[in-house]
Amino acid sequence: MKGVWKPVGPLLLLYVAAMTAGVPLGPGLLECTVVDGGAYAVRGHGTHFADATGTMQVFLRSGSNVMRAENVDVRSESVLAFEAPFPDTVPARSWDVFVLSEVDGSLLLENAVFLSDAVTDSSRALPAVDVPTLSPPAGFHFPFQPRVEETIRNLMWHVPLWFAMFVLAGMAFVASIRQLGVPQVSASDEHARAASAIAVGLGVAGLITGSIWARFTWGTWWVDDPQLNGALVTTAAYGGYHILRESVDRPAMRARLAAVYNVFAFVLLVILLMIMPRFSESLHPGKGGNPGFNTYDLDASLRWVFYPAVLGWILTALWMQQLLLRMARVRALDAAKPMTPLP
Amino acid sequence: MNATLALLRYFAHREFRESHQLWSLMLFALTAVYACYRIAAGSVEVGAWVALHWVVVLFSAFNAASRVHADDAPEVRTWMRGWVRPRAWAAARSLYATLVLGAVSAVVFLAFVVFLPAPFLEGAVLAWLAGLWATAWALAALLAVVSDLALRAGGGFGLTAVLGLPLVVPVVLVSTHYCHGVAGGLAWNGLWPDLVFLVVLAGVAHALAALVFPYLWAE
Repeated sequence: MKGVWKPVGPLLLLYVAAMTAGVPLGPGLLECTVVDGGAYAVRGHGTHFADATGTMQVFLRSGSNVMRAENVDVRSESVLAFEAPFPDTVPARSWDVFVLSEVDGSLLLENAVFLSDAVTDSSRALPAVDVPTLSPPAGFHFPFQPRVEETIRNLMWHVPLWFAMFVLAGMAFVASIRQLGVPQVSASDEHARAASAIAVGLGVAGLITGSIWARFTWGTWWVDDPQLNGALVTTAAYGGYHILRESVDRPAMRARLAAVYNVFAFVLLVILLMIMPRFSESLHPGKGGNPGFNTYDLDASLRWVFYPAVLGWILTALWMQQLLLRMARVRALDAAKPMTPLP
Repeated sequence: MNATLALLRYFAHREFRESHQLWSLMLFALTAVYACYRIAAGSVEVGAWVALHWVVVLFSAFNAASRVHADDAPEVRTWMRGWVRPRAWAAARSLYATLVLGAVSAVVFLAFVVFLPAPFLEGAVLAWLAGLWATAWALAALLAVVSDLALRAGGGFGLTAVLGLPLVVPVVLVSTHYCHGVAGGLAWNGLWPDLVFLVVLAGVAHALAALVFPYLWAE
């Protein structure tokens, strides 16, 4: 019964993989463009405009001013055209578009229409319009977020990898403190080594998944972001820990020096990944004044997959650390065996 | 406190006995600044000026930290362990490294101003120097421990760089942010949080150094 928790991590990750690949993305609006004759067309993702033909309604909103669009024309499941009866003088140039569908619910595209040539008068108020409220679309799906779109599935891999990395780095830190408390090499040194080795692996995986996500959402593989730089430098510091270990031959000295460096590496992790990004501009959600995923993205459907992913990665990482410890013990036993003379 | 002061005096005497080490450090810094001047052909933009300045300061800091003195020899260390308390040694070593790095940073700054004039620093020299010395304080505390670690591990400048570069990144990030603010003419209201953060980082580095140094000191 002792090791019964070990398969739980991989099983949870299998569940996460299945959910990540299988759960559809909810409907949303991608863009709004000017089409023939001054009409506008909105393009949706995962939408069912054709299924709601005849009941579709489109509204334009700027601040407290709301206007109903005219001649709504469903062109396909994902394309909808409409005309906007803007007056000669408008209160603002930038307008959001709301598409109300009985199938997809209420869809919003912020700053969808920009009237570059319009005459503006901020004191101008348009007549009030009643906007009906619709219930969100039924069915289990991940929420649609502009720009993030389908890549929101990466949330289940990228973020839990860092959570697991923090846990393993914390364990290595505690083990190093314990090692410093004794003059000779103790089991804590091997615990710290194994935990930080897994932490480096998780950090590299987190960097790769983050870089892939950045390519799709920010348009580049790497940006000058404090969170990214902090993650890279922290992973490098843990890499330095292993280089330091390899540089020292005497086991007791190696254990002590590595433990000292690990204390610095963990403090660096806290400063770079938990403190500094909160005080500087960052593209990352939840950092530098940006809203975090839990503010509006981490809805019920994401929670069903995200939390098991966090738990799954942590348990899998702990299992991997146990395997590394066991391998080290086997190697030590093997090294202690007397050499068999050649025949 | 008396032990720390005595050690500081001892380090100063040692510096005069091995003065070639300090002169080589200064020569490296000045040559690096002159190389920047030649490469930049006499004038650089503000951003490049700040970047070049910090690269030279950083390399000078690593140079200063990885100096090996006669009393770093294992047999001398073994003898010293008998009469020096490790915390006093750690405090004196960090303080002395701060003084040396502060002096080297000031020389680098002077050389930069001479070779690559910086009109954007007019009226902001004191703010710049405050940031420079706060950074030197933080770098010295971190690199004093890292260089001792590398020394005990049998590594030289290479290991100090591998182990130290990731650790000094927070300090470098904050100080470059501060210096870009100074060079950009930011008012004191916008500058002081970075300076306070630098001082806090330096304090944390010194506290950590004091905590872990006894473990490096022990045989």
